[in-house]
Amino acid sequence: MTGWTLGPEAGLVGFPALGAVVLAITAARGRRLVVGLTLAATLVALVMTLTRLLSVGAYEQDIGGWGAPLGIGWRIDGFAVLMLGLSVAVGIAVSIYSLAYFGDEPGDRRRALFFWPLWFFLWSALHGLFLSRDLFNWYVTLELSGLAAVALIALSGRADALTGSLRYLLLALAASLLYLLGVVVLYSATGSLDLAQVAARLTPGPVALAAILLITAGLVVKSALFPAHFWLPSAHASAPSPVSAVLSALVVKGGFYILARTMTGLWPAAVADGVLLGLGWLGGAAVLWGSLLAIRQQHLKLVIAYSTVAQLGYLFMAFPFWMEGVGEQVASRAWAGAAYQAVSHGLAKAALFLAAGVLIHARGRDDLDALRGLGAHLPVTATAMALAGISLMGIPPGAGFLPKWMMMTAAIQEGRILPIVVLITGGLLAVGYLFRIFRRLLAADDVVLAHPPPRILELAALGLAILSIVTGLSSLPILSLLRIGAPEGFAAYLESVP
Amino acid sequence: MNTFIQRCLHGGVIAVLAGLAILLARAVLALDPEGRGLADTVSAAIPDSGVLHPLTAVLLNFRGYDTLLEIAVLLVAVLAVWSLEPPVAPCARVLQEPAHRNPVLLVGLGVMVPMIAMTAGYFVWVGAYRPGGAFQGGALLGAIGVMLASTGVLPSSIHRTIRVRLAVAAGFLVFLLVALLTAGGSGTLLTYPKPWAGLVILAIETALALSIGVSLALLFMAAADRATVHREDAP
Amino acid sequence: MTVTIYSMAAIALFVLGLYGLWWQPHLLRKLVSLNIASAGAFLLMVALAFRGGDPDPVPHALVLTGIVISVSATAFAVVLAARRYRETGAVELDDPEERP
Repeated sequence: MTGWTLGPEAGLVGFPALGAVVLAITAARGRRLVVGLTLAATLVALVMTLTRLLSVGAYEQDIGGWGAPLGIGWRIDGFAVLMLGLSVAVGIAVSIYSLAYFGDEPGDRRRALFFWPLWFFLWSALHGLFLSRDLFNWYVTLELSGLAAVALIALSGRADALTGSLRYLLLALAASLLYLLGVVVLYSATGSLDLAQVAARLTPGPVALAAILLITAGLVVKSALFPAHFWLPSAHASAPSPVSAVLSALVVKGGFYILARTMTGLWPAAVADGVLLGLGWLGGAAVLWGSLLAIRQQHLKLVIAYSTVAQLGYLFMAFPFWMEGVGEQVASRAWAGAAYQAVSHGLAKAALFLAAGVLIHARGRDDLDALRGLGAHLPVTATAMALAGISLMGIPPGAGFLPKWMMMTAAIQEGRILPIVVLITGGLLAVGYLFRIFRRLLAADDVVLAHPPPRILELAALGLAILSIVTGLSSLPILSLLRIGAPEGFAAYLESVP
Repeated sequence: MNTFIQRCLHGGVIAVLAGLAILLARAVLALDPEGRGLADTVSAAIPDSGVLHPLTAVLLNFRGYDTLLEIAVLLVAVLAVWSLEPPVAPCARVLQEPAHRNPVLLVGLGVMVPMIAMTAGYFVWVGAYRPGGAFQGGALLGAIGVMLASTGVLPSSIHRTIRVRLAVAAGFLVFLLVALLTAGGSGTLLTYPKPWAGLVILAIETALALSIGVSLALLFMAAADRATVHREDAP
Repeated sequence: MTVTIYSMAAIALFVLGLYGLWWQPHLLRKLVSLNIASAGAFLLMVALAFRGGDPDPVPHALVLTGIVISVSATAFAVVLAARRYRETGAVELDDPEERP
């Protein structure tokens, strides 16, 4: 048992859950107060967790004080806190946006009644996922976040949203079962569910092979990696806009996070290498395929959703550099690049979806041509889109530049041509699909706004977009945060960062 | 041509699933046939858990955090189902004639409902010593809800009043408050104070059983009601 | 030996369920298939817990958690499918004859 008392990180799971259950009981009464308190308390919990991490280094918490293998444990290190920071930043912006987004019409009121508890449960589950180091606890957090996410998509009530959410639900449930069976096999072989203990007791063989294939397959579906991406565009595009932002920025990162944790700290190299290489190939294919389809879409939110398919691909392109025999310097650079990309994509994509929500609200339509001339009316939103776009395209000083550059240098050091080609092509294609949006926004057409959007919507989107540029400018703090408790064999590059 | 591609796809899926089965079977056969998992570790820790039955100890104490999240899943399911429905859910009624016009049914219900309720309470209580607990008790309470709804004893519609919402959320709320309070009191989340561990667990189990029962009954009503609509307007 | 028989049956159930989920077009049949697959997964957990003589309680607790999750998700899926039927008249995911 650790000597610490009262972990502040418990608040990251507890406060949103408490807010959710209170809002489920009290419904609309006192909503602003409860939401405000929940956001403030969660932010304080994050700051306290960060402070503790900086003062004592990576630490672990045993829930109930039992310790593995009997109890469930949390591991708080730089990677976890970075993802928690992303989640809290996006969560606060989305919450402020949603207070204004769901208006006073009866349909909106009904939606808001269920949006808040479902969203806060989703938020709580994601924090639980980022904190955990227990394989079965991950299954539960995945199910909780997945079910809440499906319900949030269906909230828009549109026929395409019902179809999209149902397809997502069935696939997510099947994927969870694959993951669960992998965990069962691991537990039966090692007698533990704790990541580190299982890793220590696992030997290469049929058990490890079955487990890695089942767990990876399940998580690949959850994180929408090509070719299991087909559920994502319809689900993410048909949801209410704040929900789209959360799904693209945070929920798909949950699957990636567990994959990254297991790939860097669970499997014996003999079984992992082939899987890592395969994931890299799929990631590259996702970048190209997602970008090409994004260019062909005629609806704003579908362009952004296919861009998510593409941007998720970059995360997996880092995986082959974690294979046995790659130098620690390169492996570490690719690992940090993937974590950085997860954050930069999360911020930029959330900003983009929130801004898209403003534009769609203003015009009452979501086809691309409805955007013509909107830039002059809504300069703040157009700026938010431009800043987020800079980050997605990988242009400095956007946050998307450095992670791609880190992967590029890793590929150059290893002498791999293919990743370099994909990275450059992917960047150019991103310019292609984003300029289809910008060109129309900046057109000189004269339009009349159907509904002038509330100011706060625009400001929430702009806030996230500015944060994505700030994240690009503050690479040193982020890399030194990742250094705290970096997995064994992935620290060399980070050690060399001042 | 099209059917050829379909046939290939079909064959491919069957091959992948067969591969999955072989992979799993090989892994299972490679396991230690005498593996005991955590059976001994759990037995050794039982005296500290506040209960005597290992399953209850694992569910409510050693891995209580999982159970907390799992109740959240049930609560999310109720909210999700409600979000798809009008605010007043008509009760699913299977019988044409309501029960109070049918003396046999009325007497039957009068005997069965109290007995099931008592059994549910017994299950919650006995969970500390032998098989039983909040889930078994909650499932029985849910069954009472299903019986009362389908015989038409419950009113013809259920409003989502604050009392209903409280009943659904009570289990999670009590569990979460205990978790946060123990975090404040003892330093670690969900560490129950030793002498009261049994009592705390019983309190959580009672609230859980109530919420599980109400949630299951409400989920049944929502699904069954839609099934009726389905029948009526099908061509 | 008993454990092996149960485990193999569980794996068969799981694979059959996944096959049904992919092959059956009707949404209710997909849901039934999914539940068969979960039953397979839960049976495997219970069977493997029995290897060392007296059963290991941890997988039993995990199965109980899994069952509650599976019940919740199934109930939601049924209501979601029914709501979609009301809106569109479609009972399959890719229904070509959706009512406008």
